[in-house]
Order: sequence, then C-alpha cells, then structure tokens
Amino acid sequence: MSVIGVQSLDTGNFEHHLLARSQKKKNRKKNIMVSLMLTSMVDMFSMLVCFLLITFSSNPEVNILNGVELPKANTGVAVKEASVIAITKDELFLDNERIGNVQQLLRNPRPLAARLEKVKKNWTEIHPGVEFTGRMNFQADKSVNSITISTIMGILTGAQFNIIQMATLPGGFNAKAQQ
Amino acid sequence: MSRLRGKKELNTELNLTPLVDLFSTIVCFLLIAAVWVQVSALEVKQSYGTEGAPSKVENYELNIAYVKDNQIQAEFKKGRRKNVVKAEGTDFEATLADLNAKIKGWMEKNTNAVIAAAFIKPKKSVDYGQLVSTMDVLRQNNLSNIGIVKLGDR
Repeated sequence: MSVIGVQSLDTGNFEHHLLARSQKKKNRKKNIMVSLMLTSMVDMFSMLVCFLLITFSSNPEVNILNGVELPKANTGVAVKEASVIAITKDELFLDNERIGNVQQLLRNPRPLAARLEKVKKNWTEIHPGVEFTGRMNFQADKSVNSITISTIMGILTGAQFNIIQMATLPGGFNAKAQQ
Repeated sequence: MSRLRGKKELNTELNLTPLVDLFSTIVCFLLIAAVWVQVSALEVKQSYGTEGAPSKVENYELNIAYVKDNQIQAEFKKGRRKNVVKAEGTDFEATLADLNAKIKGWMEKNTNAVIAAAFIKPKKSVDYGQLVSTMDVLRQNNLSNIGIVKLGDR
C-alpha cells in the first residue's frame, strides 16, 4: 500500500480500471464494419431466376431410360402423361420395370401382355367411369430394327393401347429447309 | 450532443439478406424442377378402316414401303385405282427429300384428293430412327393419320 499525501490510493483497483479501459479501446478498434457488395450478387441471382423461369416448362417430365438414344423429328407435339414403354437395344422396360429381353418377348409376348393388362386395370381403377384412353408413351433406341418396333406396337394394340406416342427429340429432316 | 446527432441519422441501406435468401431458394427449386431435355412425341393411331363418309373430296390411302437401300415406294390408292411413285437418293436423307418432293407434287396435281390415312410398312434393314424420319416427312405434308403396319396384317 502506498501513501501520497493524505489520500491513499488502492493501486490494485486503479490498475484494474486502466486495464479495462484500454481493453475497451482495443475492442472498439477491432469492431470494423465488414460489408459485402451484394449488388452484383443480386444482379446475378435475378438473371439466373429470369433464365430459369423462361426455360421452365409445364409439360410432364419424361425420363429417358439409360441406353435409349431417341430419334429426331421436327413435327413432335407435347407429350401427354401415360405409362412408358422403353426399348433399349436388348431389353424392354415398362414404367422403369424390366419386363425381359426383346427377342425373347417377341417369341413369347405373354409377360408383356400380362403386364399391360395390369397397367390397364390400374388405370380403370384410378379413373372410375372414364373410358380407357389407350395412350402409351413409347421410347425406343433409334438403332432398333423397325420390324421389332412394329411387332411390339402390335402387342400394344392387342392390349387396347391404340394411341402410341413415340418420343422424339427436336431436329432431323426439315422439308422447309430443303426447299 | 454527439449522441443525439447519431440518433438522428437514418439508416437508408436496404436489407438485402432476405432477398438473397429468397433468390437462392427460387434458384434451387427451379434448377431441380427444370426439364432440361425437351422430349416431344409423334402420335400413331394403330387402327384400320379410316375411310370417311362419302364427300366431294376423294379419300386416298398412302402406303409407304422400303424397297431397297435408299429407295422408298409411295403408293397412292383409292379402291382399285393406284398411283405408284418411287423416291431415290444417294443416302437416306436424300431419299426423304425426294419422297417429300414426290408427295408434294402428287398433292399439287390432285387438288381434289385428300390422303385420309398413311401406312408405313417396316423392313428389317430399316431402323427405328429412319422409320420416325419417314413419319416426320409425312407429318410435314399435313398427314396426321399415320399407322405402322405389323407384318402379316396387310
């Protein structure tokens, strides 16, 4: 304890006070406002949103099966929702479920016919009182033999799927460009 | 005094944080929901007996057959009356261009006639891509009632 004149100071408290004040000053110096430039980011976001909204389509999403390379056509119309039959070079799928080997199904179409009957039954259960539309989305690899295609279409017609929507990509032969 | 002055200063900066949040959510949603591959469809009605009610226009049937490599035969048929034309080319696309020209020429010559239905007969050497291209040519000539013949049917 030190004595100055008459007054006595508690140096411990005073030191503590000084330390606290210097600490406060340091803290104040550390509080630097960091502001991000958000304008360019907001610009980018608005452009991205505009682009995505323009390209956004209300058509039902069509999943193309792996191993199916679709043919090209210029006169394609919007796809309507229906079951999907997909034919790769070797396999046949109905609603993403493997039915069997294409050549084997051509020799014995019973598994496919049974599955088609099931699809039709499900449709009539879901849509009571509505006439069966017989619509089927058809995806096939462009290298598949046309006779195989016509035979499978025959099986579809036999199972009362008379409206077949052949999935295509935009492009191909353009009669207007040829003129 | 300085404190009072500080209180009077209004903060006019826009709070962009919720805007950025909203944008990020929308971008994520649109990226997930976007349909990137535009798939369209060619509709085939697999049924016969398409001859309509008698009218002043003559209803014809068009039968397309692949004869040889790069040769397509188009048969315009009404009852016993037949008119056969052959389209040829150096490759398949040239053959399609010739077929397109032949169909157009026939339609211009027979203004009273209407092609009510068209049937395509497949061949082993013709693949699905070529079949669809042929259908596309027919549709570009305003023929919408197209069927694919199952072998042994006709």
